[in-house]
Amino acid sequence: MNEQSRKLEAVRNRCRTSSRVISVLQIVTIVGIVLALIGVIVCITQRGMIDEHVGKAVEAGSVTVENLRIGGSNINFLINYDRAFAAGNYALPIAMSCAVAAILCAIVTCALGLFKDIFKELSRETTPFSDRILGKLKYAFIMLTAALLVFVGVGPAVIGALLFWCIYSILEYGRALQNEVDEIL
Amino acid sequence: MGKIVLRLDRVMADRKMSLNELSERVGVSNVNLSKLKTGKVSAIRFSTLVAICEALNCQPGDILEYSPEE
Repeated sequence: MNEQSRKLEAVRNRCRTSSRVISVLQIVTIVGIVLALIGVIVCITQRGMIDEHVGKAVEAGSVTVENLRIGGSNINFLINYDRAFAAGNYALPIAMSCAVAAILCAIVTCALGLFKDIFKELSRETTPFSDRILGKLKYAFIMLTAALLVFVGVGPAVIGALLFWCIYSILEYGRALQNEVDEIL
Repeated sequence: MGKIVLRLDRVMADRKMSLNELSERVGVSNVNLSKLKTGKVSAIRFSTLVAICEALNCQPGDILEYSPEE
């Protein structure tokens, strides 16, 4: 085995490990989805009890309304937390926060799935510069940029999008070079 | 613009060598040798050219031919 082959084998081994790590992360995010959905169901079915208990906790000062938000102020367009909390309505905003968390976890799970597929293919294929890998990467980047835009903010989403676009362009250039190399015998 | 044409089939016929035999000697698959014969590749490595010349006992000029644009 020459030096180049050894380097390629090392890259493939790293990709195999990354694929396994992503599998574990996916389990965590799937558990997150399930817990968030349970939260939604509990908040809706036990609405009266939750409003009463959380209201008491807020009055006692042990819980602040800021603790009940998920995604900062960026999801305020979904529900007006301040108005709901002022009216003593806690269960529905919390249910909404749980639903948003479930959607976020679902997006991350899908993106992780695409990354896992990419690492799996990299551990098998001789080149990462293929149409299949680029296609999957494009969808993963779009999903993550959309998640950044909705849950973090415009600034980080623009930076993330630029970073993803840079990586995608490098791989596209690599694919063009790969096509040229494939035509040389 | 003219092009380079590979005259592999002519030299192979002169040497009475089959595609399979040449493939084994050169270490290039049958499929890739067929691509070379039919001119479906855009370039050839010096190492491949050396292996073909050794197997067919010929010079690069015997298998490469410049064809001007008609």
